[in-house]
Amino acid sequence: MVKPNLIIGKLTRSQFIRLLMLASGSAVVLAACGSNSSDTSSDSPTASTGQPLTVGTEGTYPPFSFRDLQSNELTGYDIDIATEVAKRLGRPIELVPTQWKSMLASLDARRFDFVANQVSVTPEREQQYAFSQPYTVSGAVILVSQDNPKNIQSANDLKGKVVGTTQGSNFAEAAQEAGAEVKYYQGIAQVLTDLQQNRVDAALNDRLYVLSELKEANYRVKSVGEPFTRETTAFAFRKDNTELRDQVNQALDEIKQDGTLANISNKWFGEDVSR
Amino acid sequence: MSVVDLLIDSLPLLLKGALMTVWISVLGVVFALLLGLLVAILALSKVRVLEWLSSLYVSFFRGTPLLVQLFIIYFGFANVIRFTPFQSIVIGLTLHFGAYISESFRGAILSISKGQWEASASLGLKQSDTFVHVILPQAWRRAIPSIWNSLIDVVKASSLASVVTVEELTSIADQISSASAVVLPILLEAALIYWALTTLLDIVQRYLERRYRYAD
Repeated sequence: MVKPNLIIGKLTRSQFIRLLMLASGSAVVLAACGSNSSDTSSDSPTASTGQPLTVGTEGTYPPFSFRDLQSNELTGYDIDIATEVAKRLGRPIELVPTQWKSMLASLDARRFDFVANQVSVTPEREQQYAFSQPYTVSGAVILVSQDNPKNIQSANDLKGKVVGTTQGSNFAEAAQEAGAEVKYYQGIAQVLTDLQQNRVDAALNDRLYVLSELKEANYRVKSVGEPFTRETTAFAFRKDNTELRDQVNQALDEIKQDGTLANISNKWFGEDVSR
Repeated sequence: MSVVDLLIDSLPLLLKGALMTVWISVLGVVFALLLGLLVAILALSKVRVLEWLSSLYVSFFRGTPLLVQLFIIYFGFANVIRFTPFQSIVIGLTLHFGAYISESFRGAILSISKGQWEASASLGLKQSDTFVHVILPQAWRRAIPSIWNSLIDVVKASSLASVVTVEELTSIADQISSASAVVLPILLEAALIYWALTTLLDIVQRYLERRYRYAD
């Protein structure tokens, strides 16, 4: 009498080997498939001239980093600056669209050379990462829905309120310090959608984003009060990659002095937000 | 730009993302099926080590979130093996859904009556031939509905590729909706594309079930 579940023992050796070969063949196909993917971050911290400068950016954060729907290209304030920096370094640029949630982990894992995505310089982050000189000065502002049912007028009013923000953003910390309960979203668009339906009481976001985007979009939300933090944003590098950081700083010096940076800023914000 | 114009204008870009989704899904489906079958065979092998390994595999990959598995594959192994973003999602989908599919296969194989084995043996068939030519075709037919549940899940779960920097349907939809500040219509458009893709799988399932009806 034969047991139905005695199978492997009864597969002939050659059949078993064929199965194994099928499996390992699959793995080879998989390896071949991936070889043309966007995994080009240089392993050596001192990549030579001519190699692409790989830059992590969200691509979902207008006007800093977003996909232009006419040209289908990634563009924005941060991307313009990074592109200009790459040009000064004589290297092509390669953008790696990455969700903010996995941005810093990707930087750690050498998936790209640096982050150009309005990364705020904070003491905590400075312990983990090397920052370029700042290229934006801004601050967080409070957003409420048009009807503002909780009557929030300033940071003091945030205590005990529900504040929406994006995952891993430094606005979450600002909200917690103000005593608010923080609710996390994937992107600013989802935050504002929920805000206009009063599912959250307020949202925190960058003054520059509010300046440039909010009036174009048709969310029924408004900003209240004064910016309550002063923030600078810069490119973030791995700590072991200060050589590239220094090169980028030099390029930033150049484009500050010859007015290129101010031009880029004017193009996006109508004023110089880089100082 | 009106919402309707935006939906039309964004379609080519979304379809480009959908192409990546299809590519990920096709590889995920094929590899998950192969791995699932292999693991089911190991689980039924009566070799204790292999049984133990396959149940450990199923327990882990069925028992932890795919998102976490992806982070481990993409970031956790970055210093050992650098999987590209594309490889990471295909490996993640394969390992995760291979676990589900192996259980579907295992159940279906066990559901074939012992009499089939005995009848084949009495006709002088070797056990390996019995498995390949008698048991597996019947088991496959019984496993189709539950395996197809997993395959449709593969397509939907390919949207997690966006967290490991693959630009597919969901991440393109995210980009368009944040650039245009039009969220829900774009997401609905993306959802319809997913629906169309999974409907293709439905059609394949109906076809296969019709084809194997002769066995009734």
